[in-house]
Amino acid sequence: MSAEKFHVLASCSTSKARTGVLSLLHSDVETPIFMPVGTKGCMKGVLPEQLEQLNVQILLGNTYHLGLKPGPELLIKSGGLHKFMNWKRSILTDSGGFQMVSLLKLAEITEEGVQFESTYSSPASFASQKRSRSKKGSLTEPEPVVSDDETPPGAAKERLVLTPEKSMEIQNAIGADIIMQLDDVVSSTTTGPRVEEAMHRSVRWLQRCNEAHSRKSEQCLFPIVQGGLDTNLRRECITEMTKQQQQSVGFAIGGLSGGEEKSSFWKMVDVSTDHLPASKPRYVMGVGYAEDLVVCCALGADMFDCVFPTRTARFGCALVNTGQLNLRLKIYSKDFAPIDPNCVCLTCQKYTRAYLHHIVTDLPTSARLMSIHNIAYQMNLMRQIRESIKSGRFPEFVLNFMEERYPNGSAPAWIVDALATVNIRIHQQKPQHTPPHDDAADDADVHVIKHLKAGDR
Amino acid sequence: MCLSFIRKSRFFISARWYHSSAMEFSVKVAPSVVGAAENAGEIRRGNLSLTGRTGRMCRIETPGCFVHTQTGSIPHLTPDDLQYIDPAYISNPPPLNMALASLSMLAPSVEAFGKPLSTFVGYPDSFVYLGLNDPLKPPKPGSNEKSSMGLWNRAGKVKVSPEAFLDLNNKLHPDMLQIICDMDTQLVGASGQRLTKSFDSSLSWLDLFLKSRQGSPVEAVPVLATVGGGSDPWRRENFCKEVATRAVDGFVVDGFGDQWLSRWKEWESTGDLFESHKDLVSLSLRALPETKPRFLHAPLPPKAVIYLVEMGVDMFDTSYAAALADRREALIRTEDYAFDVISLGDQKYFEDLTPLSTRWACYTCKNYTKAYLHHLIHCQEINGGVLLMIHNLNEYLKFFHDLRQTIDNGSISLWKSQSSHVKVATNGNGNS
Repeated sequence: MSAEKFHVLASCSTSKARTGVLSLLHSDVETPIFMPVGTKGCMKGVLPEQLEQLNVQILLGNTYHLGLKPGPELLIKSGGLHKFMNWKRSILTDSGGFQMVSLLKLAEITEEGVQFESTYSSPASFASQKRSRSKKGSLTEPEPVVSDDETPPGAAKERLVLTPEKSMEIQNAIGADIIMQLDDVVSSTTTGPRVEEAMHRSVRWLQRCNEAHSRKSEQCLFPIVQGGLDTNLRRECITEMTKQQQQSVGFAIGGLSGGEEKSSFWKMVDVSTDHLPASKPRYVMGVGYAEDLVVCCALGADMFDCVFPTRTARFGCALVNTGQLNLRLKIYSKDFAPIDPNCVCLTCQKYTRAYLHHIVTDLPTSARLMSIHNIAYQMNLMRQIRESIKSGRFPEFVLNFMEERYPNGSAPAWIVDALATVNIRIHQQKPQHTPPHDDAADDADVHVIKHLKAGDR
Repeated sequence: MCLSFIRKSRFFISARWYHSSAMEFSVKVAPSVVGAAENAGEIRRGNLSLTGRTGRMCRIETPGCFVHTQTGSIPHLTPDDLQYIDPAYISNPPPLNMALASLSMLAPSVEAFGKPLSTFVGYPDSFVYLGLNDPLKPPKPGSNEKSSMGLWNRAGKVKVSPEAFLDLNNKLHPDMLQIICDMDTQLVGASGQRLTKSFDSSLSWLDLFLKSRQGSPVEAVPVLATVGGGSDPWRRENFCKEVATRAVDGFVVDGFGDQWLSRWKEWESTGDLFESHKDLVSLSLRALPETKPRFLHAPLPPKAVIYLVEMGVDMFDTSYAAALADRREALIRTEDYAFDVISLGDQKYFEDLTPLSTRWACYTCKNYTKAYLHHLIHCQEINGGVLLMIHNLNEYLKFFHDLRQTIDNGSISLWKSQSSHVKVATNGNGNS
């Protein structure tokens, strides 16, 4: 595929922000874009038509989950994931490597691929090295075990391996518009030679992925830049990958958003966007907090994904410009305002915070209404970013956004520093008093944010 | 042809009419064509026109149903999903049936809100009928006390005395309501003492409410009296005769304890449990005035609905559609007059790339395969329940629509002949 799939429409004259259009097989995608995560072949609680109405242009699917259930064979028979799930616009799938490392504690990474023990009973899709360790269990029975993926029951254990070739095979079967290379994921807090090894291995695996990729005319393969929190490794990785994959439609910046210091995070994004080709979109994986999105856009990133907005929705937290509202709190029981008076989503048009307070975390309908609002919030934020870049008012937008989120110059230092490198100077003061606009609700919200951050991504 | 013509001609020998300030009910009544001669009731076919507190009219054809809700929301759905419910089957906005049990939690908020309950729950133009219990959450035995009815919601038990009942209704201000009743009478094993207490409390609560609502915000709202009596024929009949003399607009047949609701699944496969209590329902219905609508709330499979319609029940609710969706099951029309229930979690649907139904296409059938639904269910996705609910609600409402049509052309017995096939099919496919 050629690089002309991405067109930059406008760039900010102050910062590195830009806005463009990425033309994919199923739809055009306006950048900067946020991609909601529809892990297992659906966006939890939101129907495809509702996603379209919210102006979702591209959805993320997880190869690890889809490879196990329903599995590549059924997806091929169904005519691909788009048809299976009734989604007409674009899809991006990850490589499956991240879930494997994060969900399966026993994962072991070798040059061949990611080896792991699975307790799923019919993981035929990953079964390139199937060796049964136990005779009991459901190997002979086709019925899959119904369980939460993160706590599989004691089924038969099997040794499985996800290689770059296998990842491509499954992603080709899923048929997403954008597919990701299998990368060697190390925790972003890891230091030492393992980081360098992972970077070099990711470069080698990129080559294998590209060779195994069988639907090049339909699906765009994105390399994933690794290199931990080391500027030199990141640069080296980009040099290698851009040399190896000159035809790549876009690049991902991986290995971040894993609990590292924010000051390191933004510097890695900054160095990556400095060195990646300007003509191609840059996808920062795992980013979804509004302030992170605004900063990353200023640093020149174009695509983002994160489970946070929709996961926090199901826990009863609504996103607003000032942060989030934990609607489970009693103070909302007589609050008859919509979540956000300026929001035009179904939830804000039809419901008060008071009613949502009564049903959150209780009815499936509430998970749906909350997800709809939070997706609308993300989409609206990205639309404002795109429009402000087009009209040359992006720095102004950033200043207003940060002032609303961090009133009276209370913005964290990393945001001030990151924006300063791209010439957007926000007002910062030492916070002397509690911000006057806040009430008891926001104090309680801070607690929830901390709680949720632990399980994020 | 000839037979149906004869039936048709002797059909609807009488028409009845009832009206109050906010309710108009016209019903045509004819002797039931089928059923045991002794207990045979009457086939009723009518129109129920209701005027909500906002002045909006709501017309429901009977036999028909209100749309069942939980804490004010249609289970699994968001309001925009109503676009997927065929408008030929139910008026839009749909009339909603809510439960005081769960809504009692909302009362302080709704009162402070100042706008109608329907607006508060996201269905501003709907007519709201406030019943007592969610048909899917049977009342707990032993919850009632001498001067209060016990209702359960997620915060625990709410003791509803006649005064508290009026207060809750004043705050929630529904468009129609069901009056409290001490209907904690089991079908099997209720003592004579319990039955007597239930009888006395229910009547006194009813009278107290009717008196105390004078001059209150719900003064002009149509009210339904609950008719109980448990398993005692004498009390059933006499309770109805008493209630029939009160100034109420309709009746809810209940007083069967939690067994009535919790064992509905048994009727679905065998019909037996239902048969044995048919007499009791019939007793209540025959003692009620023909002019006023009769309601009965339970997650009723089509077969049970047909039985009850033949006995003279006018109004139901859609809780069956939600009950099936909750159990990951789909209601399928297998023949013109027969249904099956399939369990989408079943492994046999893993690779089934056909839609739920090919007879007609609802949103779910148009866009998704059984394999996809199976996948969603195995992943415990919310969307599995959503898609099944959209399908089941369409099937259930279409059933009522078709049932009315067969009544109109005198061919209701068609449902009987084919539903016997279903019994075998249902038992055979391993649903339990």
